[in-house]
Amino acid sequence: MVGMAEVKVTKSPDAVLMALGLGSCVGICAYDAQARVAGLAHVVLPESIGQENSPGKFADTAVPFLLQEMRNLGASPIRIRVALAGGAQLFAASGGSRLEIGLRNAAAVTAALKQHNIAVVATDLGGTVGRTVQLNASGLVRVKTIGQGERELAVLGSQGASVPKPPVAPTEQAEGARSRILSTPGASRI
Amino acid sequence: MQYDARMTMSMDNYNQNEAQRMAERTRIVRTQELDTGYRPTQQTRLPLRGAGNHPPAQSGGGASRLPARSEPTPTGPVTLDSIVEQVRRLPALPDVAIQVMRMTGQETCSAQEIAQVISHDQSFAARILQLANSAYYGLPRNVGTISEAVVLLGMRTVRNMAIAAATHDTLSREVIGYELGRGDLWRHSLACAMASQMVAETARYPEAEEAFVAGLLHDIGKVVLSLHVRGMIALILERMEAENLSFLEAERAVLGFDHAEVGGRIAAKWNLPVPLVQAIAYHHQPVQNGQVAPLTAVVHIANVICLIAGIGLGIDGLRTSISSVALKTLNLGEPHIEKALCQLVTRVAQAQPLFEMENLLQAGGQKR
Repeated sequence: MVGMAEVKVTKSPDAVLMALGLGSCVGICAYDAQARVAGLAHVVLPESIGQENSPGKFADTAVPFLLQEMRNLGASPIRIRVALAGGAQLFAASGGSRLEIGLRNAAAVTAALKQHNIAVVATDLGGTVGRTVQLNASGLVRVKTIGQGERELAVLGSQGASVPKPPVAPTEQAEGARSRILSTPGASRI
Repeated sequence: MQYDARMTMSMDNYNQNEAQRMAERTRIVRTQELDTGYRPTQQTRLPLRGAGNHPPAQSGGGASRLPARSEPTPTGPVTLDSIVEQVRRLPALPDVAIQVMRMTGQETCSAQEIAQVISHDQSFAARILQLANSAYYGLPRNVGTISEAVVLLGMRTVRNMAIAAATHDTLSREVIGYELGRGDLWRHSLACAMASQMVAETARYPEAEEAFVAGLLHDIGKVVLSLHVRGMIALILERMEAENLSFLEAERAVLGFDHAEVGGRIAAKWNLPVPLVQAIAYHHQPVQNGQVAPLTAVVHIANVICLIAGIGLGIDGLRTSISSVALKTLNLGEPHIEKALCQLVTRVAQAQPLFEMENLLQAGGQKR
């Protein structure tokens, strides 16, 4: 279980990392298929406020922290693949408002990953829905959306680790869920 | 009144079959869920006194409204009143808890009085002592009386502990209609209580205690409406998507009332202070006659913060909006929200044992 503002990494073959209850928070699922190192960060806000001794709380500090923790277990940033979930928005949070925290979180995480040249291979972001994301030790990322069931979002770096894999074809049920997510305001801009 | 018109209209829209199906469901609610564990006592059957302070709930109901005090007829349509009647079957909050809650916001009540009220109910007091003696509070020695606990932990901590302990059983159940798993509503409620207290402090609202209680109880209506909503959820979601409504708007469009309103009625029935009743009833739509009552604003903002944080989300998710009038009422800006969110995450982590109160009570029991 990866609580809010926490970052957890593992090399254990039967470990499952899970971020329960992502609202506007973003779950960063990262995996190095060769070293079999998995990491998950549960990011709450886009950028650091004041003096905080909690790197996992903010996108700008969580990304380097997550990568460092994974490196410590033998992962290499070149091989790390990432899937993102969460970043939901309040209903009718209007354009440009600071309260579009989900959108800002997603943008900040994406920017920080880009800065470290990490490939994002799949995302399930936006909408007004609550999600739970889990990553197992073989790189499988599953997203459970409240009211819409569970689906596989990606298998991170299962093959051809140098080429980012496109998102796994969604199931029929997930397809419906996806179009609903996209039909809600804010999601399409991500 | 605009409110009345809307409610009457939606009630009239019920067709007969629907009404019967819902009545059927209400009976199931009564016999299966809400009857369990209910021990009626003189005190828990509270009269409707105090409900008069809650105008929309009183004046609403329209054509199909039942007389205020009658039992709902088994085959009649489900109305707000018949739903609120079920509260009698809700596993009753210990009377002592209701008394403690009523005492919040009363300037005259002393630590001694609170201790007296709690000590009056032996089993409840024992539970509080168990919590107080748990490792989480790190007391240097075990306390044996409530007064001692008040001295060592402070009145505020003991009071909040008492209210949390009293509401835990009711709020920690699975609330299936809203897709809240076991413990989800508890986490959301407790987080909202803590956030309300924080927001109240930031906004210098003088009654931070009251805010805690209001935050804790703001979604109590969901517990009562759960099975009712379960049967209608497809309609509610359909309506929500089709008309681009908030979840609450869709809930009201389909049912004729919503969980906030039902919650307000329950609070009124418990004779909780009027600001608290209003805060629960209007926590999603805080603006009434162009204004927002301060406590309502506090709970509204605290709830939104908890939703953004994703604590105990249900089927309604983040499908609600934040009121700029509420922010203005408290003189808060958007950066405050971010800061509060940041702070909440830290506090929730610190208070983790309270979120897992069941374990805490068990652990305390072993220790004793």
